[in-house]
Amino acid sequence: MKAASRRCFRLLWAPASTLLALAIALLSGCANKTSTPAGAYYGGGAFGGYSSRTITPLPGTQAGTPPAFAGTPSPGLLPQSPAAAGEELWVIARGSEPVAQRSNESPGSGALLARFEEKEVPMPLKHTSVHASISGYISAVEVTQQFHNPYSSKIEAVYVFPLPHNAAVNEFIMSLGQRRIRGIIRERKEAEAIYQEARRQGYVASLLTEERPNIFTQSVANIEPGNEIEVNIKYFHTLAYVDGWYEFVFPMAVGPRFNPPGMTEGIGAVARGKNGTSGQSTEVQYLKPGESTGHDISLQVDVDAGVPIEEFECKTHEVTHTSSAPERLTVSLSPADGLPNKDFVLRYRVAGDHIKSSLLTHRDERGGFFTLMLNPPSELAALRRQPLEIVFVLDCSGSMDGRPIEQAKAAVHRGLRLLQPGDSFQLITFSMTASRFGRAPLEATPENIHRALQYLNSLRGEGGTMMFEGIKAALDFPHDPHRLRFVCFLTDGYIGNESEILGEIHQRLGDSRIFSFGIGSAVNRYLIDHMAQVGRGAVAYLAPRDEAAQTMEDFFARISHPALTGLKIDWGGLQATEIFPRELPDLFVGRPVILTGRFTGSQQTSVRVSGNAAGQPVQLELPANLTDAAATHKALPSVWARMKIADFADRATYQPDRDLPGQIKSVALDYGLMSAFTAFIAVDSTRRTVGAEARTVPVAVPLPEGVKYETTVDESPDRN
Amino acid sequence: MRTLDGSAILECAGRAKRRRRFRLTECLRERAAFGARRIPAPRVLISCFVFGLAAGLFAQHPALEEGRSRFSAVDIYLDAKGAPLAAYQLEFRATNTAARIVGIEGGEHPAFAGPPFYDPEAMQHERVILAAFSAIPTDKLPAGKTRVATIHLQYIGNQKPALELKLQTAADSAGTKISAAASFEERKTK
Repeated sequence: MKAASRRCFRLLWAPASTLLALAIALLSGCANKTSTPAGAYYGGGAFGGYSSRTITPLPGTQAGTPPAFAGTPSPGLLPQSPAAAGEELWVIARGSEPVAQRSNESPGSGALLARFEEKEVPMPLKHTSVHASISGYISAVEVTQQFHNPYSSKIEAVYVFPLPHNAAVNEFIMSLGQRRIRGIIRERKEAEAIYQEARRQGYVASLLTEERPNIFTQSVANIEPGNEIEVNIKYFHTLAYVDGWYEFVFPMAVGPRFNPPGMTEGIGAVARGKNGTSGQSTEVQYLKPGESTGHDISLQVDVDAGVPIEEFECKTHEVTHTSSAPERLTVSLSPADGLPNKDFVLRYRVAGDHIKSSLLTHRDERGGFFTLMLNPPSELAALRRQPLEIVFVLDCSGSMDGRPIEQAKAAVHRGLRLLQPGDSFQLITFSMTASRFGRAPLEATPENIHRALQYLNSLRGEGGTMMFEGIKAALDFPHDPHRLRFVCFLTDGYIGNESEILGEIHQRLGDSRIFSFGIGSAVNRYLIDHMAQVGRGAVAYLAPRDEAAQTMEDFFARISHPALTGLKIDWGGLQATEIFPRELPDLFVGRPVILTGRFTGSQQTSVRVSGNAAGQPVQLELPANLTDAAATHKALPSVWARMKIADFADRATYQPDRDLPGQIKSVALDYGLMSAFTAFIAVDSTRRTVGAEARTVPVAVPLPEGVKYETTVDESPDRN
Repeated sequence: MRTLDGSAILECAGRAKRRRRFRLTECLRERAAFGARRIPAPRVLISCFVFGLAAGLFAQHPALEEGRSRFSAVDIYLDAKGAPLAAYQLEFRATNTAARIVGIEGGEHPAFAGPPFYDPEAMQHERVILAAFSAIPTDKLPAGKTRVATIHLQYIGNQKPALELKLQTAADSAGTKISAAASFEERKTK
């Protein structure tokens, strides 16, 4: 029976298959004709020997305007970048390559054929504008990314970019000319599936995903040649308050991360055009030295401090400023300093020697929300410290080579000089492995310090960043009970395994306190801040133009007084719940902490803070007026929800729990916020773009200022 | 024992499509492993080629995929019947699981050109509560029928989406409630 049916099948199949083959061949020809887009000539075709010619630049083909590639007769020989006026452009075709490879360089223009004297590379990201409005210590920031298509066929732009790690991203709008489409927050996988489907069907769509709390990916699908699409992102965050200065930071560059062997969920650092070669789920493409894309940034910060602003400074960038009233300040980035390759840091000091602890509240249909900036009591500054055991841990990896390591060494140099008799110290370095200066911490004698300085001078940056080795070396030795142990990490934080490192610190911390120093122009602030947070210490940053010695002196000034430890808070009539951070940190001189929570109270009340400083009980009392029903700080629910998400994420690093992702997702969706498990999606469903599937163009970015390309970006094709 | 019949050939073709490269040798190896009766090699070749080509073509053809999902825009109109419309709140939802909201766009009149705000909690149930207000002078507010928003949707599957629109409130610039009619219309994709 079976044999008969097989025979029957074969009999029927033979003629039918022949007919079907003919029909499909015809259809196939039609399909190819109809689906081949104007720009679907990847591979370029055959090139007949070497040839060269001069192309006169097309009008309007300077940086920032799309070159008119479409419709020109010989796409294989077209330039990939607009040439500047009067510039000679050499186009070389190589005859020895029978089939050109697909290039990531420029869609629709074939393989990499153009070579031009000025190394300006066309990129889909044209401009970023940033506008921040600061009120009190809460900042509302609007970031607009302007994408365009400088190529002759449709593209998908993919841009990996940084935002502050405590940013509560709650708004996303895609603009197509005058039309503005508000993005929808959705579960990440669902948003990704919608985006892929819209992309495949030819609709303009954009997707915002979070790779790390401070690294995001913006994807914009189906940008047609010559078209522009803007994406507008809004977020809130709280400012840091450091030694009397408020600090507003806008990160502009993602530094090249090192991922330990075997890791695949890291952030890969690859050369331009080498996407997919790092083996990591997220990749950042870097421009080579001397290359540029024309992408620039403009930034304006409006400050309404509420009290007179005494002074401000911006050491990272050239700025201009205006002030319409003593408590108001507007600072703008100078157009001459618009290259986005370093963090923008604005600091300002308000009137009064010492700001008071302040409580902000907000009530809406969801209930009450508050933030409390808790300042250390002034009595602390009058108390002297115990003997210290200071462990300096220096990142000597390749990304630190050059200016960063010189600054780190200068800071440690000053730190060693500031040690007092009775203190002890240790010096640990790490790159691929860790090494210690002494087998055990050494007494701070002049001889030991002299030897340590000699050792310090010999250090240089090279190799990977196995920070885990540095953590182990710094925390895994017996603690001297007569001394307070402070571990000072000096690093750029350029690693891809942040959660692993934070989990290790949590597990090994013991009685130590971690003070992390971010060294460089665009450091990994998420890691460096969280190292200090998990390590119950504090953080400091050392940008290329900062004085290393001064930063270390400020640190020693801080630890020269005891911290307020064992903090307890009686919230009184505030009836506070869900307060973050969940574990109260120690209070150091000059370093207030910001607590955020929910409340139900409605009376005038007071909040009592108690703790110990140098063995003495200390108490603080803060008045809280909850009767003002009109008090609104609309950012507070988002700020609170972001803190709650961060708390869940931090817990996930040391206490794996299957429910945590679901809890993060739930909070993020309820408050309309970005998280690792949610994403913003926006689709323009009114119109389908024409042409074949859009080609993906990752936006290549410059390396952070002071970071060397050759020691951080691997150009080999199979790096893992 | 399994034999190499039509379904096995289809399987081979399907795999070939996935790998984007047809491997006849693999197909033949499999056939040998299954212990099938000998089929003349040219016929296997033609069969696999045809099915591979067919599978590849259909995979590229959008119509099949679009049966599972398509995108569409729905325009939301408010008619304030002569009164100046300064603010509104409305609820739009899909009453079955066939539609997902993928974007919200502003309206045609300058007073409501910005994309309206939505309630993220409601959105989790494919229900969108939109609200917008305009502070422009009363004489410049729309008084007749105007498109106040466009909802971008993804329709899933072949089930017909059931959409519902409910105007919760409309007001003039003094905050006084006004009578208005709400309607929606699916826009044809260009």
